[in-house]
Amino acid sequence: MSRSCCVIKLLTDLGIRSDFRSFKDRLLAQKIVYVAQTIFNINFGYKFIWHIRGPYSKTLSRDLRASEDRGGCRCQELDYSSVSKLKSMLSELRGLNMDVGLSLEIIASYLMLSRDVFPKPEDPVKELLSRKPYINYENISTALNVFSKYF
Amino acid sequence: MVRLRSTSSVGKGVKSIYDEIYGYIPVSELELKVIETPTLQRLRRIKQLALAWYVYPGAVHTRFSHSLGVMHVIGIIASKFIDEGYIKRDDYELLRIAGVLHDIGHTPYSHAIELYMTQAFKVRHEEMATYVIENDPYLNEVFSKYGVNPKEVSSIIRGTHKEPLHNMLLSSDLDADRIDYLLRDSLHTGVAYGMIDIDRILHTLMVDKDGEIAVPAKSVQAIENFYIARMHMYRAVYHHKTIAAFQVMMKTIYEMMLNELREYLEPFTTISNILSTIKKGTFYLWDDNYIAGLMNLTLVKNLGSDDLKDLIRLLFNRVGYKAVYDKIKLSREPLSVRENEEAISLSNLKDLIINGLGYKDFMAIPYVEELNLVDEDLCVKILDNESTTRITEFESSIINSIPRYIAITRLYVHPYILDKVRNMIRK
Repeated sequence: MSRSCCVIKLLTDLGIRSDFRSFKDRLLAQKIVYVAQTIFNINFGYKFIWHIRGPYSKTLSRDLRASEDRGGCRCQELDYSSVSKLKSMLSELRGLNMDVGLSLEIIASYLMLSRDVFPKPEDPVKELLSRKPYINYENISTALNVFSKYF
Repeated sequence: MVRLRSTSSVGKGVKSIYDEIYGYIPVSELELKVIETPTLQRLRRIKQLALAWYVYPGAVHTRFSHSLGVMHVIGIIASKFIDEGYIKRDDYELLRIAGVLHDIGHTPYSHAIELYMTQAFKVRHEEMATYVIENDPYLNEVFSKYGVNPKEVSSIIRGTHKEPLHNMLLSSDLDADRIDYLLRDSLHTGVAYGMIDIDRILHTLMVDKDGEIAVPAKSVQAIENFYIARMHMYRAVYHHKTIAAFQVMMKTIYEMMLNELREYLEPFTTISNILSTIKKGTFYLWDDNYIAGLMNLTLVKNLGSDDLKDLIRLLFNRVGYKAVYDKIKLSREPLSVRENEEAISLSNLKDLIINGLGYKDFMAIPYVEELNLVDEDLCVKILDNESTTRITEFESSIINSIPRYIAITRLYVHPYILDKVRNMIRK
């Protein structure tokens, strides 16, 4: 089964149904897949670059846009205990008084700054604040508090 | 010739190298030392467009000249952004070094053999480049003498540098790599519609308030032309029916040589062996000449199977595989041909040829490519009335009306069986 099919299955299981035509929807999906790969061992093998809005994979973006062609997508390879943990985290994030896309962008960006980016910033939180003028310390702290329960 | 000069105070060289596109490219002492390593000199012996010279005889330029071009273009953009305060002056040479090394991990015969490496080992040239930059003894000697961190260089090539703008210069729709290869490949093939207005693009490039690369609305035509040129080059060169046929043939020959003449290809046979050549400093021997020489040796010394020798003779005499099925689709939406009915019927047709007519597996080869012309998330932004919009959403741009995706589906067959397969298809 192709990885794009498994990504769509994962996103559907997480309650994210979209044709991914909007940048906002693709941004949300990009962050979920990065977090799934990095922390929840749901590895699709996408390679991410460090973009101003956080981890970004061009191949994933294309796969998401092509997703509407795959109505009958099935994937047997997902580890459902990991999916279930990711689902719980997402559900907690949805309960926050903050856009879920923004909280995922914070978590995914924090993770990428701490793990994959070079040179590694001394303080990823400060780095986030300096890079993203649309977020504040409270946003970061709230999102990372939820994330820390699952990490 | 494009005469681009940096207007910044950075980038005065100790030597100049003449380039057919930009004229004299100044290089610093550090850059010169990097260029002089056997590892980078290897790129002089890898053709940029593999076997495209079978169709366009002038397309014999190398990865070396392209790498110098990317270094030059990235330097021009960087110096502009340094003057505008978006990039630190200290990073100028670092970015140029990343530019000149971005293709250092390429296999011989460029994409023809990379296709095999990607399928067999799931390794692409960018990952190989990281390993070369971080482990090659010649490069590391230069890096340690001049205080360059190889991990920082490779992070720019992988797109994981801490500065997102650095990553954009090598990994976005309008990056230095694409700018140079469009100009260089169109010049050497003679495919005129690959030309772009590089002067206008580079001189009007800017960083918008989000920290992304943009151009003013007055340059929108130059950007449209850049995207259209890419679309033409995909069809006229990179996936040209005859050129792709020779690349498919080269890949088949390489796979056969790996099976039949493995000892001659050692140690360049597996990823772990290739990685150890990088550490030992013998990676520079893996070039087009090595593979071409082995093909000659196969014929001179009568090595390997008759099938292999036949294929090499055909390649040498410019008799390639022939497409019995060839479909190009253009669309504004992704096409996913690999998973659709067309790909399945192509695979069925191959089965019919191999099992029904009793030919060997290498005699019918499907070729399926899905190309994305415009990255909707990382495409160029247009500055108009103080705000920037992605070109895909810019109302008065023709990018809104042209296809963003190309899907190519072909079935290539060995020239010996062409007539029989055509007859079978007719029936």
